Amino acid sequence: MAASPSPVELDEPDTDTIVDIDKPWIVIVWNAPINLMQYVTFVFQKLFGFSKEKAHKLMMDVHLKGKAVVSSGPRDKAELDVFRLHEHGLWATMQQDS
Amino acid sequence: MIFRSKPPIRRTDKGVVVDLSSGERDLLRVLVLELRHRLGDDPDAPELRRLFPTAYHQDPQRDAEYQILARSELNDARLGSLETMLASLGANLLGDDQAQCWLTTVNQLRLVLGTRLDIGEDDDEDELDPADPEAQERLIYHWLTGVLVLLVDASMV
Repeated sequence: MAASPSPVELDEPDTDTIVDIDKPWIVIVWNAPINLMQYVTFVFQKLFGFSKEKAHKLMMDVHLKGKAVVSSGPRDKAELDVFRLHEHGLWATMQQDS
Repeated sequence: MIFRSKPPIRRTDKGVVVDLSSGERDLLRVLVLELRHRLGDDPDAPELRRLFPTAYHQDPQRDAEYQILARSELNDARLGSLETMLASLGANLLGDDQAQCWLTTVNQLRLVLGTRLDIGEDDDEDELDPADPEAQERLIYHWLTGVLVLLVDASMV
């Protein structure tokens, strides 16, 4: 992963933990009060092009299990997905798949 | 709103019809202007926290980097939707883009008001207590829920 140029400090390579840069990132949507179920379903359809059935199932996973993985891929893509979910007021985070 | 036969916000062949009263539109305008003021004035206010969620929950350093980049972009996107909604608040017919701006903005209004009211998982409209000093805000919150449901239904193609 290319570190952005900085005159002040450089990211030191992390030698303690081996991070596999090819490992995909997963985007998780978490259950949060106030979120409206129909709205969450609609946002999943709109952002990811899911069928209504798939979007509804993921929404129910968020609602009942507390979270659902909605997308995965390289870090840039995952971060864009997280951003778009945040733009729509959903609580999304990302982590590298374990 | 509930006594009308047709949903006051609904999809038609021409676009999304908005059949709200002037009082309802005025209320939306007050709420949107208040949100615009808050976003500009004090975006770090606790009741806005749901608008700026954590992205890297396992990595505070990366999250700090994300927040630096994302916060202003999120704010710009929010303000853009909000201005579009303000400009079309008097309209009886919305195009799809306008309707999407209404949808995301009403969702934000609801998130912020719900955060202020500390709405939990199981908040029920039936439990409204007239003696509650927040009763009016709770009524507005539940009304916003109804508007949001209509906007979601009207957005489904």
